[in-house]
Parts: sequence; C-alpha cells; structure tokens
Amino acid sequence: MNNVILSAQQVSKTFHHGWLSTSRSAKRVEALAGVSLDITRGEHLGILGQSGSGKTTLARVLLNLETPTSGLVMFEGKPLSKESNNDFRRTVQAVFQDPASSFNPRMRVADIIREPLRALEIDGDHDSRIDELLVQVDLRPQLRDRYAHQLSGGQRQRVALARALAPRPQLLIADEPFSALDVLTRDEIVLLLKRLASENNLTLVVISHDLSVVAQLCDHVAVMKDGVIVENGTVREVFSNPRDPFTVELLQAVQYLLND
Amino acid sequence: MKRNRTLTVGVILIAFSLISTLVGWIWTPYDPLDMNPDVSFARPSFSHILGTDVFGRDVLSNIMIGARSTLIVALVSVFIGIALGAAIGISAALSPAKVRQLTIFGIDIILALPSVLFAIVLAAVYGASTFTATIAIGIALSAAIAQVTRRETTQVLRSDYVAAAKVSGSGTGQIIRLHVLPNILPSLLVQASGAVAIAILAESTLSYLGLGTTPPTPSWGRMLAESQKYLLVDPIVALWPGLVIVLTVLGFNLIGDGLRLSLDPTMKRDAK
Amino acid sequence: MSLLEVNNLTVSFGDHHVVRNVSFAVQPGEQLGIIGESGSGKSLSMLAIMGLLPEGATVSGSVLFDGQELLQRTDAEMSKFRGKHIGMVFQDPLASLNPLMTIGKQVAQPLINHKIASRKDARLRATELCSLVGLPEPQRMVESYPHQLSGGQRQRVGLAIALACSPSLLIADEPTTALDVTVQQEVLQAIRGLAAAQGTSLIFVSHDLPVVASMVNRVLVLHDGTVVENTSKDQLLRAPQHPHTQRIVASAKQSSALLRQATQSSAQ
Repeated sequence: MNNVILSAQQVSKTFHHGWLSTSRSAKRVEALAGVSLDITRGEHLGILGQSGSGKTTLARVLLNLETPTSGLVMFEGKPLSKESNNDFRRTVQAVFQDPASSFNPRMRVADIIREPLRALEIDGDHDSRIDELLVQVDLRPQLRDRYAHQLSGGQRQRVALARALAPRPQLLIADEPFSALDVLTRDEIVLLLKRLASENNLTLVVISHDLSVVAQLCDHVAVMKDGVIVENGTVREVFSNPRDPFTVELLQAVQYLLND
Repeated sequence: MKRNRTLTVGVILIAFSLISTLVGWIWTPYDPLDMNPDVSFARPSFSHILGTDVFGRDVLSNIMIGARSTLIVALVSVFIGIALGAAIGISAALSPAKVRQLTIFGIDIILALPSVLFAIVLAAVYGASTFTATIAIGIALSAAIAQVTRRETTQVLRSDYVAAAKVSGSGTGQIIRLHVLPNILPSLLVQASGAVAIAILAESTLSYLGLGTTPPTPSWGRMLAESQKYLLVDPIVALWPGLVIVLTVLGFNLIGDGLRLSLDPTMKRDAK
Repeated sequence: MSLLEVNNLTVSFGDHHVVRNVSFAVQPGEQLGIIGESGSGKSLSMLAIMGLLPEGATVSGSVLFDGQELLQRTDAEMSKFRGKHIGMVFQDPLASLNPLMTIGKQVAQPLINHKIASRKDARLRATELCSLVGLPEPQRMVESYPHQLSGGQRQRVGLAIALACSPSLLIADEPTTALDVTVQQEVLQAIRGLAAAQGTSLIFVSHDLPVVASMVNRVLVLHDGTVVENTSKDQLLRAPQHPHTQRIVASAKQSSALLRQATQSSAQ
C-alpha cells in the first residue's frame, strides 16, 4: 500500500478568458505556477491561503476536475488521466465550500447521497446505507425526504459529508467547508469532521483561509500565495517559526485574536 | 394555492380551443365551407351564433375547425422546436470550444432568417401544407431555444453541484439526466409557452401567404388576415378569430407559468 | 440625550418576525458593537434605521435620531438623513460602488447631493478623504475606477463615501467579512482613525466576536431577532450572562487558545 495517496508534481494551471480561447488577445490567468505536494496516508493536511492564492484550483486539480496545463497528479503511484476512474472516485472524495450551491436544488437528501452509491456501483442495499450515513453525521434519517433548501447551513454540510463518505473513501478533500457557517455551527462541524476522520481512518486535506481552523484540525500545513506553496511543514513548526514573509504576515494579521 | 390558480385559469382559457377541436371532429353547426352569399356579413343571431363572413360561411363553424389546424401547428412545431433546440443546445454546451463556437455561429445564422424562408423552401419541394408550415416554424423556433438552452446548460455544468456529481463518479450521461435536464426544464416550459404564441402568429402569416394551411381549409390566422380587408364593412368578423387567438396564446402562457411554479421545489413550504 | 434611540423595533415579512422588540441606545461619541449570526436580524435592524428595508417588510416601534423619529418617514425625507447625518458601510465592497464612475466622483457625490460643497470643492475634499482613509496616491486614486482597486481599497473608498459629510453616526455592517485577513486590519484602522478624527459614533455589526471586540467598548448580542445581552465589552468577555452569548465567547476563547498554543515556539 502506497504511503503517498495523492501527489501533485510541478503542477501549473493557466486559464484563458476571451472570445476565442486560443487567440493571443485572450486574458491569461496563471492560477497555479508549479505546485508540488505530497499527501501522506493518515495525515491531516491544511492548505492555507487567501483569495487568489490558487488553493481552490489546486483542490480541483487534485480532484481531477481540471487537468494541469503542465505537471502531473499521481494517484497511488500512477498518473491521473483525463478519463473518469471509478477507483479514484471511490478513494478520493470531497466536500465543497458553499452548502447552498453544492446540491441540485431539485434533488432530495436521499437521492443526493444515493448518487455516488449508484454511479460508483457500490454493493449492498442503498437505502439502508443512506440511513446509516445520515446517522453517522448526526442527522435524523427522517430528513432523507427533504430538499437542500429546507435545511440549515450546518445540516447541509452534514449531508455533504454523508455524500462524501458514501463510497468509504480513504482521502477527503474539504474546500473551505466552514466559511459559510456561523461560528457555533462551525465548531460543531469541525468536531464532526474530527470524529469522522478518526472513525473512518480518513486522510484529510482541509483548504481554508482560517488559521484557527487549521490549528484545530491539522497536523501539517502548506501555505499558498499567488499560485505557489511558500511554506510547508507541521502546524507547530510553521505557526511558531514561520520562515516565509507571507506566513509571518498572516500570523501577524491574527494577533488581535490572541489578545482576546 | 396561487400556482394552481395560474394553471387552472390557463387550462380554462385553452379549453375552448380544445373542446372545439374535439367537438368539431364530429359536428359543427354548419359545414364551414358552405357558402351562402345572401347571408354574408350576418350579425350574430340564433342561427349563426357568431355571424357569417364575406362569403356567408358560418364563422363559428370555421373557428371550430380552424382550432384544429392552429393547435396542431402550434403544438407540433413547438415540440419540434424544443426537441431539436434542446438537443442542439445541450450538445453545444458539452462540446469542446471550437465545435461549440461553430455551433453558436450556425444558430445565429438560422436566427437571422425568418421562418417564412424555410416555409418557402419546403413549399417549393413538397408543396405548401399544414405539414410544411409546421416543420418550417419548428426549425425557426429551434434556433432561439438552442441558444437559451446552451447558456442554461453551461450554467448548470459550471455549478458546484455538478462538480460534486463528477466527484461522486457520475458520468456525462448521468449528469445530463440527473442535473441538467431537471434544472433547465422550467426554462424550457417558459420558452415553450412563449413559442406557442409565436407559432400561432407565424402560422397565420404563412397561411395568409399561401405557404401553410391551404384554403379553403379553415385557419384562425388566415381568417384574421382575410378579415382585415373588410374591417370597414364588418369589424366583428375580425373580432372572433382575434379573440380566440389571444385567449389561446394567453392560456398557453399561463399553463407554462403554472407548470414552472409547480415544479419549483423552493416554493414548497419549509419544514425544519 | 442619546444620539440614537431604538425602541421596540420589530421588522416582519408577513407573519414572519425577523426582528422582535429590539431596543438599544447609542450615545454621542460611543462605539457600539452588534453581534449576531446570520438570520439574527442584525442587518435588517440597521436597514430599518436607514429606511432601506426591502419591499414586503413591515416595521413598527420607534427610531429616534437626535430626538427625531425616523421610522415611517418617506424615502425623500430619509435621503436627507442618509449620508449627511448617518453614514453606512456595507459588506460587499464591489457591489456598493458604481463600476462606471471614478472614485473621486463617487466620494464627492454625497457632498454635492447634500449641498455641502460646490462641485470643485467637493472634488478637492474627495482627494483629502481618500488620503484620510489611508489610500495610496490619492490624486491618482481619485481618477481610478473600482475594478482597478483591491478589495481592501474599495472598502476604504466605501468608508470615505460614508464619512464624506462628517455624519454623527457611522453604521458598519460586516465591513471586513469579505476581505482577506491580512487586509482586515488596515480597514479596521481606517474606520477607527477617521471615526475618532471626526468624533463619529460607531455601530459595528458583525458575526465575528474578536473583530467586534477590537473596535468597540459596548456590545449588543442579537439572537433570533431579539436582544439577549447588552453590556460593556469587558463584562461580555469576562462574564457573559445569556447561554447563547456564553457559547459564542467560549468558542472565540477556545480558538484563540488553540492558535496561541500552535504559535508558541517549541523552545518555550
């Protein structure tokens, strides 16, 4: 069994905007400029960055939702190709930022969780698995018939977690899963995520702009700015002894939090 | 609830056309083609409920039979427009950039051409008829529908929940079935109801030009167009076809609205 | 006399009461913080004070500004208050600025609208205000357009517009929530600085307790549309009374503690 589940190797991603995407006048945005990152089995990795740092693009590349302009993503030692790969999808799952938009507004909770079970051809009775998952994320199974907009932000994120856990993944990538939540709800979901990670033996990648969330959930952290990783190490190392000036700036910006 | 009212009123409005079509298949007060020059422009009376036209033909009978061609043309051409337009729009949204841009260009060209042109071409090859008019209008409608469908499909494909669907392992086919179609359906319904109005009006133009329902087969559009000549002599003759066209178009619009509202889950009462 | 006195403010949409019997007062020169999660009614309360509630909202109660009742005034009457006596800064810096007007014109606008300065003088004052809020190169800034500025800069422009006519009250509704953490401090400094210089009273609304705590000396806690606590900042942090407040304070303290722990050098 590979120790490194997923790895980005010198990944760059450039986006083109403009009428004819291939024309020279089209605007180019270099979202990622040579990112290399290993995700080791069992670790809880935080990716810390502000808007425009490329963290969401990195998440999408790692999830094979975007192909790198250059560089590779290796999954269990083999490079990922553009075609869909059920093995990959069963192993690597995700939770996204905005619980309001992560669900098809016309689908009920049960069907939302059923989608991966069907698409990835998971064995067993789907209905009982759905109920099992709802209980795991502390939701009453009666909510299975509700629509997403009938749930609170916290409840929606729990559904998102249930959906992600359906295929029993080994790696969970969470892209800013708490930013749209209230402080108290955020605390609940952080605890939930911690518990789920330990109960299910999950490797976690948590992308966030919030240092306290990273401090709470992660043992390792990679700091991103302008499409590159500027610092990488254990949370303790990076937060107590930052080497990159940007990391220093980030820590200084939250000083007011420490003086509470 | 409010949404049922919209739907109900819509159905009531098109009820007349529906009933006339059904009843008209079996019976009409008079043979619509029966000319009686001595009773031309007769006022509405017990014998001729809606009066008669310039040739003495019973207006009510003509309207009842005319309902048939109007409804057929409207419904079938809109069906063609939606089926063709949605298919083109969705495939365009899924295609790689260059193919997509070519398709958009093609759609724009068709949009620029009036349906009359298609009707002329088809009439030249197959001879004018209700059928050629239907196909021509259907093609013309499909362009606008393809344009809107492409945009909406692209929006759905870019959404967070489609990204989540891909991460869940769903392939393109499943994404179209589970996510794209249900979410563009309301827009298609609204477009369909608008398209019915356009289709009915287009049919009247084509019939008038001799490119659609050929005389003497009754057609609301042609009745309306022909009655223009006699507005000074007997304006009431224009009133009846005009009125039924307006009511039917309005009815279809309300049905489209009502269906869209009833399909919207966010309108359902919240229960936490 | 209080500068602002809100009594039994209730805002409803049909049967749904979003703000229920909210009462509080702001003294001249005071800084009040209003804390609440989304849905607590904090933003709607501020919009009610400004007369900017959306269609379908019904308001009752009383809002006295300098002794004058503001509720039930017409839009035309309220527009004389807005900008001149009460300024407001919103959460989304991009949405609150006109993309087609230069910064200078937008900052000068309130001065011209309220007939405080001539067009020429207003433009000069605009440049001054840009410099007061800490924007770099004010002369160039005044000719720029919103899309050329960063989020933090836009928010400072919003602040300049709000304070252009030296109003006696500034309402800031989540002004730094949409900004990166490294930029938040600059904007908060700008608010503190300008408010102090002009002697403006401040109402600072946010869901973020530590941010609010750094800006005010008194705090109001809103939960589910009602006021659950109204004390000094120190009292709130030391001994919160209401269970909801206790949870929020505990959560903020825990986050601080964790962060402090992580940033402590292993040598210590």
